[in-house]
Amino acid sequence: MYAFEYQRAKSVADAAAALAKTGGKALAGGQSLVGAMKLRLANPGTLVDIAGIAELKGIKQDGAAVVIGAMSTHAEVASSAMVKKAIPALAALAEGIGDRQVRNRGTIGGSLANNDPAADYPAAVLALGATVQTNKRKIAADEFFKGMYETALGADEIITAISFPVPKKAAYVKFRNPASRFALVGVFVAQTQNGVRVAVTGAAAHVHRATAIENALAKSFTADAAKAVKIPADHLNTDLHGSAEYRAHLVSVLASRAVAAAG
Amino acid sequence: MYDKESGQLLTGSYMDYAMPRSDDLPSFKGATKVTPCTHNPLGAKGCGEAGAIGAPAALMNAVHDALSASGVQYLDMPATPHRVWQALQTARQ
Repeated sequence: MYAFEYQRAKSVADAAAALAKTGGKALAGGQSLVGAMKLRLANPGTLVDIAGIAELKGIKQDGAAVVIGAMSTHAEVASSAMVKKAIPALAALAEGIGDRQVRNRGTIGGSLANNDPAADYPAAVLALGATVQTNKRKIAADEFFKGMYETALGADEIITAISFPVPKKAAYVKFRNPASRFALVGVFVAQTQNGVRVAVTGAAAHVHRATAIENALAKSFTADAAKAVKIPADHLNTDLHGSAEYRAHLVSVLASRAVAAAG
Repeated sequence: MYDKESGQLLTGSYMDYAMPRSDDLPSFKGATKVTPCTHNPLGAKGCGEAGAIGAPAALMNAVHDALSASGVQYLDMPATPHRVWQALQTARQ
């Protein structure tokens, strides 16, 4: 690990000012960033710790949406009675991230800002058509995820909360990489007020919508309809854990399992 | 595992090298069966790494048995989900 400066921010405004001044990185739960720093893959001159900022915490219902503070941990989302009741698929997804230690430290805002190609939360945000709220603006899910570890966030922009519209029904199913337990492929299927949305994580450079499956499910919301869609392997990842063709196969299979689980 | 072209180690951490965890272990019952060796006075046998020698062969035999109905003739270790799927795809063609 390279040497770095550490600052604890008291408020979002305080954190944004520190980021703008130092050109550093925001530290949330540190479950990805600190690991990358240990491997010397990341070298931020300054870490601005935002995990303790009170205004970034808490989960509340806002009309037909559940609004989750960016510094809510995965464990807090998984155990929230409100999330479990309104969007059980989201609570279940949070319960399946990493292990207990990761869930007690990692945050939803940190996961989204990092945008790991195999992270779980981006699939939920994209499939549910959520809105990412920052200290500067509101960003629709379809505009947020830009590339591998790339988002629409600016350098001193901080996610404050994520607003999830409550779907009619939804489910997330992932096939775990046997070594890392990250999603080799994960598929989030949601029947929203604006139609069926299907988001895929783990399979490509970043989370994306499977429009072919969305179209099939719009006609017939059945497991068979999802499974019948043949996904092209172009642009999907190949590594020692699975070829692009295998991942393409998994997308249809997991989508059909998610439809069955959504009921 | 190493990359064939460059020699680069691909399984450099437990993020890529599948280390079995406690929840990978099936439940099992232990039992002992005493069969003294007849070729030495103590009746002792070498028994080091018994699990590492017999278990992979037994497991791969079981995998082959399960896949044989689909026409899979041969599968190399490790029987990862991807390799089992690939073997089934090849056998079907």
